[in-house]
Amino acid sequence: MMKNRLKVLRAERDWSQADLAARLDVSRQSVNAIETGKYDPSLPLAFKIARLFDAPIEAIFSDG
Amino acid sequence: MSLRTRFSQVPAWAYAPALIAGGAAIPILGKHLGVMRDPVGTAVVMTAMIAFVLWGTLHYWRRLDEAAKEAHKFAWYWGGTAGLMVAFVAFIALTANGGDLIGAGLGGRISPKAFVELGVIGVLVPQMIGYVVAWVGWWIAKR
Repeated sequence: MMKNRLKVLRAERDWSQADLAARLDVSRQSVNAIETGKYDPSLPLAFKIARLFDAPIEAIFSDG
Repeated sequence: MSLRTRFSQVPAWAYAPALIAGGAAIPILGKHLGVMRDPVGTAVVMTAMIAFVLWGTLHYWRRLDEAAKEAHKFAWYWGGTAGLMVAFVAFIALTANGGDLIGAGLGGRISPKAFVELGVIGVLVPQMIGYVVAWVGWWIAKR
């Protein structure tokens, strides 16, 4: 499983999990699973997340 | 409003009861209209029911996000396979000693129809239970 900064990036924008889920067109449960590192998103979703936060994928996700 | 737009507004949870109700209505209507008196008519009606359920399931599937799809795939593979293994063990155990236990379990309803029904239900029920357990387990593990 990968680590990610999704929770931090979301908090910086003062978005709830539901807000982020709506922006990504996924369920809140999916956002929670990604944030806690228990579910790795697909490449298309990872790109979508990167575009939303205007950051490179490697700045959000790391494999450590 | 297009049909596609209408479907996109239906909440994903509403598909299951709609598909069950619609799927059940087709054979009920088929019986009412007398179409299911012979095997051919029955096969036609049941094929129509399957087609309806598959069509609805396709729309449901398109509504799911990738994590929800992953949960279903995991549940189908692991839960369904585990259920099938349980059914296999039951099959071996129940057919031992000439299958006397099966006759007792059917309560004297010894007929080809009863045996086929027992066989189909004996596979489907463990698979569905396994599916539901694995699906719930997947979401609990990802919380």
